[in-house]
Amino acid sequence: MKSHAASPALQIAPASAKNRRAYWLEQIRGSYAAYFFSMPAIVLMTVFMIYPLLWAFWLSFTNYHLIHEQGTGFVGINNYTAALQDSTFKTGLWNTLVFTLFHVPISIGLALLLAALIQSAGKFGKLCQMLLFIPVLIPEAMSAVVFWLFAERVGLANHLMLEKFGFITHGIEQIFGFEIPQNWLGRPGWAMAAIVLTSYWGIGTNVILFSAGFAGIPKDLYEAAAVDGAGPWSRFKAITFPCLRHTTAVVSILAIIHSLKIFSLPYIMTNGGPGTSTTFLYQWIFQNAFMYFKLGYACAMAFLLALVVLAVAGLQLAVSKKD
Amino acid sequence: MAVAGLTLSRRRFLLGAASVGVAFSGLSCSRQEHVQRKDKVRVMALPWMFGKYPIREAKERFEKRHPGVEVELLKSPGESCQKLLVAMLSGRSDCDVLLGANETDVINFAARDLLLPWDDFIASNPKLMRDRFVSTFFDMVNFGGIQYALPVSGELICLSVNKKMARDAGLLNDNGRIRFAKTWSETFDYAKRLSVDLNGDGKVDRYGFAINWSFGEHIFFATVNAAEGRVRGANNEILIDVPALREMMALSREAASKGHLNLGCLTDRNSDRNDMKAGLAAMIMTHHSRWREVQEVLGDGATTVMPVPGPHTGSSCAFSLNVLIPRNSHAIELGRKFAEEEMFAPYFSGYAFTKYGKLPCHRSAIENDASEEYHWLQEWADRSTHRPLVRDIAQLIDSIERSQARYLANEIDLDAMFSGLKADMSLLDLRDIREDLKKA
Repeated sequence: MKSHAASPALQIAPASAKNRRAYWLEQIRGSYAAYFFSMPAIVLMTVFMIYPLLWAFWLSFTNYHLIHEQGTGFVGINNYTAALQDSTFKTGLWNTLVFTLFHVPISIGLALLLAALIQSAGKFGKLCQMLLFIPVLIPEAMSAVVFWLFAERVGLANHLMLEKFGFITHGIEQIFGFEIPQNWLGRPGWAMAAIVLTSYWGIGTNVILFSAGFAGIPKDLYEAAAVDGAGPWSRFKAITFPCLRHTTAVVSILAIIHSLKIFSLPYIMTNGGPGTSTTFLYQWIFQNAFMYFKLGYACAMAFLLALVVLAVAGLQLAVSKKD
Repeated sequence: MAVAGLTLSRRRFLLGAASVGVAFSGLSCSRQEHVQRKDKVRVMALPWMFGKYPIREAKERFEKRHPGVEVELLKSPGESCQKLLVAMLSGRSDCDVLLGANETDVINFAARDLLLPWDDFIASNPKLMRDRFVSTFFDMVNFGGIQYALPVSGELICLSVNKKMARDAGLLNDNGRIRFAKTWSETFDYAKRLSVDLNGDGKVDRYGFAINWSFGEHIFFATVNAAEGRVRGANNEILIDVPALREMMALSREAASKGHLNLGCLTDRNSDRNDMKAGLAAMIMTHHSRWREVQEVLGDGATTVMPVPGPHTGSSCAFSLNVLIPRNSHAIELGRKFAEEEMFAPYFSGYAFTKYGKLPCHRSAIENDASEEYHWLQEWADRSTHRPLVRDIAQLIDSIERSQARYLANEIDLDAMFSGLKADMSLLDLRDIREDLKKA
């Protein structure tokens, strides 16, 4: 009751249960027009979001196969246990985490650095900001064709290493013990590195967010710090970074979620290979759903991934709130 | 309730909303009966086929021959027919004739009773009878005695070799023909001899051999068939761990480490043919049509073919590209007529063969082609077989390709590769799809 008392709506609602029901019915009747006008949005959300979500959740407990429908039935949590025992699912999860680990901190750091440089570049900074944002406008699937950079015979990476920086190449060959030209996407470790590198292509969004964060920092703080004799690093540590705390939280949540859902880059660059070295969870789910048509199993894996995303986002939010 | 000047009671409002909902769902779920059209036929083909087959010319010819009839050309969604299968299962009619389905697609469609058999049409059209086709491909899409599709082109796995490079390496005989390698060790010896260090820096600049691992299951079953003369064992099990495969894989890894074999196809399915066109590859193991396709750049007669090594010379893994009529076609007769008059006319598959090497399944297509490769390929096609028609074929393919890639990338050894593959296969549904056909 204590909590009810805190609610302003209930404070004005009649006290008895019967009167309260009548009161709410009256409230609903009076809001028909509101319901009517919000109906299209509610219908669209129900048809395209809520219903598929509930249907997918139900499917995750069945062995539903899109083509071989015979024998479809309820299998309990079998799909979930099968996913946890599936070596490709585990590899996919591991690869996703490795990618996240390399993508998130570096992309955030790089975006922060670029945003800081743009701030100090005046009008030229706006141009840089625009140029950095252009790749974001290009579909990721198209940007993935830069995999040609890493192609063995016609790739720019090999060409530059052989033709322009031969002396460095020779050193690399000595240190790492392999020859160049190299099939970068054909070697497990290098393929992952190539995907991580390519993923920085879409850094523009983060730069824009950080730039907006920079714009919100009062200039007088910097002026006061300068009067006190604070150097650039001290100003960054004491003013910039704390003021960008919320922006950083938003950017990192977005980056983590983007990383956990990485799909088009590896799908186009390596198709998950060689072997399963660049198979990410999303691709494995996609393969099961739309190539093997095992929708029940794919839905179970999708919900497991959703759990991971929710857990990470929740953790991040909790940390930023505590901050 | 008052909306825009109208007053509705709550009951009427809910009743109205429910009626609209029921009407919409009824409309969307009802199966619609279509009247057969006499003036329009929708012809669908895989997107890549528009570049390699004279489909647009076929449309023009047909429209000219049948005034008042419109041919609508459509590209199928994606590179395979799987999405169409899902669409057809939901009762949708996307095309009246489909070109490009392989035998696995055909059995998947047929097992769900989505195809119209050709048998009655064949009975009245001697041109389409079995003896007019390369029998292997014709029989690939005949299930339970019913002809569910007709093959337009066939593909089989073999080795394509650059003749000039082979001559330089001393691999041609006195007649200028390639000496067929009989074993895998001989083939990899060819690879070594064909690999060249052009600038003398100790590195291979033009590699001798590439295997297209992007079609890993075709490579596997071609190797098995050439070695064993079959791809299934005595108990109908899929043969996967045979000595020839082990030898081929082990030699591949060794050759890759020496630079004689290129592994670009692990991630780029076109790297072998592109490299061959660019003069960077001397010999490739992939679909036979590349042999002729690369001649567009290298010149007529610049390449030749060689069978997959093994005691069963010429036995390989093949697949067919077929034309089929969906059961829910809106123009069945026009569709059949279009197929008969255009797709099985000599110009149609003849063009695809002459320019791109797609082996015509109808024997009339290449009556005047004297190239010995054409005759060899027909002979080898007769000895070839398709990959197993199992329910989880997509997973089997992925599993094979993953295993190959992990082995070639030095992640696992040969025993681990085959034991992992067997473990994967034990989890798959490897029942023959033809069992579903009986139920349908």
